[in-house]
This record gives sequence, structure tokens and C-alpha cells, in this order.
Amino acid sequence: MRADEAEEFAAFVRARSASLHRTALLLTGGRHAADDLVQGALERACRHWSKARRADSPEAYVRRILVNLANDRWRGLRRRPVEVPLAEDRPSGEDPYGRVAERDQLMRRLHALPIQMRTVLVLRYFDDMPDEGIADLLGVTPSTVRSQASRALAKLRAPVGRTDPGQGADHARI
Amino acid sequence: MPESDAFERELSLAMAEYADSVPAPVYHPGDFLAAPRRARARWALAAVAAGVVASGAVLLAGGGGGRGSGPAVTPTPSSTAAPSASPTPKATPAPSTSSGAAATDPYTARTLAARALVVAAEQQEHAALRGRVPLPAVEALFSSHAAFTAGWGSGGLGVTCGQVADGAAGVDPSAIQLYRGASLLGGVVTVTFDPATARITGVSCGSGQGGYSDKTLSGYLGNLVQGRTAAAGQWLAAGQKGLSACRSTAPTIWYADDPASGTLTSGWKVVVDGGAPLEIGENDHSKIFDITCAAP
Repeated sequence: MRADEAEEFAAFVRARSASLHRTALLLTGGRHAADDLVQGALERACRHWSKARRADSPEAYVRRILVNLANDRWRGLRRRPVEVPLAEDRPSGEDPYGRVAERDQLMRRLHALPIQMRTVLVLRYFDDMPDEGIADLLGVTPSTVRSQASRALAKLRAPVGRTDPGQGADHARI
Repeated sequence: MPESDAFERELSLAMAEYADSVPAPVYHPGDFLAAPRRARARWALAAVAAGVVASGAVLLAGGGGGRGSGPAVTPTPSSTAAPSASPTPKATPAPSTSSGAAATDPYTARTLAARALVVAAEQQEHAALRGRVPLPAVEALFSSHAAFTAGWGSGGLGVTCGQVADGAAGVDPSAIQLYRGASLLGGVVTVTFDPATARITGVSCGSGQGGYSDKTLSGYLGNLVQGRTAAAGQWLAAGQKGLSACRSTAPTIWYADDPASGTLTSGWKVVVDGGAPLEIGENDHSKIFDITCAAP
């Protein structure tokens, strides 16, 4: 990598890695998995930086890497025994008013969604990406994004208690 | 505010709260800028590991060959820093149990051992390639003679679930899918591995087809091994010449592993006829757009 490219990449890492980590945390549901995901995405971005920097948006390029890696991880994990995140691997906190508990439940249900639905919701409601942008990133049509989002929201709104305890994060199937 | 909007707003807030609840670690750019050098070294390191796991591993996994998939060669023992290019197969020494393989990434060692085993089995099952398989090297991949006998089975068929396979895709060592032509066969191979000794302890066949399968990969390579060049060509992106750039266009067997996706593409490491691994890249349109003759 040329010196100017290295400097660009370094600036990108310094500026955007925290944002990528937040997205990764939502995609994976665990801080250690998110750490690994961002690490892997930045490694790949570095290897392909000459291509990434020519993209319309290097961040979108790297975000796509991140999403693809999350998919790869999910493909691998769904064949392995059920993993229950350790308590310390999940954000925690006291909730005197019940709101945090409700949101925690909402996040648990988010992480029980199939990875593609989860990704659509994270990109739409956390990263504020338009459906067209999500479609471009995922390689699907905007109507597929809307359909996935609609189905995902319906699943999140569905009554609690029908979830198979074995179908936790990263174990649901599309 | 409509109920749906309220729910979506709550979801957005919940996500923001969740994401902010864990501080992001500090990533140092310098660590990544050094990474490509490590990545390039990965295959060499893995090859050494395979050579330590069993000196036949590199041979069986495609460490020899290079262009043209010539006769397989046996690497030198574990003290060697790189696979030997000796054209003459040698007697296979017993692998060292106190090898560096156990200290190497166990996932890589396991992947290479599984690759070596399945490629050997596929070669054994095809008369044209059978002579390339040194059985002592295959046996050395296993933890014991009993494990080898049970896992290898008759003519390597134990590794391919009792079926003759001319293709396989190691989604991971726990899920190796089998193909005949472009058709996915029933049965998923699992290679169990002892990371402490870096040996295979068993081979088992499960039911089903291993979940996710890559139709582009099997469509191209599966048709190619059956001589259906035109059908195979349909999986190539415009202008892509396919295997002709680095291998015979009439291969007999293939094995793919190390699936990865990271940019606009996804890819596999592929061993064809026991040669050196190459890398196949697929684009978003499920077409093979890139074949790198020597996998990085």
C-alpha cells in the first residue's frame, strides 16, 4: 500500500471504527463477536483499500464487508451447538422503570431474527440507510428489503413466549 | 403518531441504546497495515503446519503441483520451512507429536487436514488419480491406525459417505458437502480433529446436505469434471476464461474450502486434481469473475 493510501486508511479506521463497532454489536448481539467482526472487516478493508478508496463511499464498502462477515459467521454458527451468550457479553444495567427491560427484550428478539432480517432492520433503523442503499449493499432489490423489514417488524411485534429457547441469536434460519 | 411509527421509533431508540452501551475498542491502524503481510504468509504457514501434521498433508491438500496439476510431491519433514518440490515421492516419516502444528492456529490445521483427507479420498476413488495417493501419508493424518481404518474405509469411500464423489465443499470441517457432477449428494462429512496432537481422530457421515450450498461453485466445477464445458461456462462472468488459465480444463476432481465473503464478492480456495490451491471469486450475480492460480 502506498503511503498516501495507508494514511487514508489510518484516518478511516480512526474515524469510523467506533461506528462500525456499534453496527457490529447490533448484528451479533455480543461484544466479543462484534470486536472480531470489526477486526475482520478492517483487515479485509486494508487488503482491498485501493479498491475501497475508489468506491463512491469507502464506508459503505467496509460496511458491506462487515455485513458479509456477519453472514459468514451466522452460516458457521448455525451448524454448531447452541451458544448462550454469557451475561457479561451482553449490555446490562439496572432498570427502575421497566423501560430498559422492555428494550432488552426487544433486542433479544432482534437477535433471534434470521440474519438477513436482522441486518435489514439494523441498517434501516440504526444506520438510517434508505431501502435502496440497503438493497444495493445486500445485493437484493428494494422490494425485497421492504418485504424483509415488514416481516421482521411483524416478528418483533409478535407475542413473546413462542420462541424456541434453542433459537437464540445466530441460530434462527431464514 | 401511528402505532407502527411509534414501534419503529422505539426500535430505533432501543438499538441506539444497546449499541452505545458497550464502548468500542480502539483499533490501531498500524495493526491492519501489517496484516497483509501476515495474510500472504498464511498459506506458507499453513503448509508448514500441514507438513507437520503429517508429511503427506501438503501433498494431499495440494501443496505440490502448481500449474498443470502434475504429479503430486511429498514435502520434506516438519523441520523444513516450506513444502519440498521434490518430484519423487518419499517414504513418509511418522509425524512428530510434539510438532509446531499444535501451536499453530488449530482451525487452520484442522482445515488443512480435512482438505488433505478429502482430496486424497476423491483421488483414490478415480482410477486416473489413484496412483498419486500415498496411503502411508493419509494414515499419518490420523491419530491411530484404527482411526485411519475406520475413517478411510474401503478405497477412501469411508470419507465420502460410501459414495463416489468427484467434488466436495468444506463449508467448514464439520460440514463437508459431497458432489457428483453438479449434484449435491446426500450425506455430510464431519472430520473430528484433536488440536493437541493435530491429528484426525475420526470421520463421520451425517444425514442431510449440509445446509448452505454454493450453486455457482458446483455449477462450474461440477459440470467441468463431467466434461460439460458449455454448461460450466454459463457460471463464468463475461470475459472470464475459467480454469484454462492455470489448470487443465478437463479436471477429474475438486475440493473447495475456506469460504469467505468480504467485499462485493465471495470466494473459495479450490484444489483441482490434487494440485496447488487456487482461489475462485464470485460476484454478486453468482458468476465466477476471478480465478487466481495460486491462492494467497
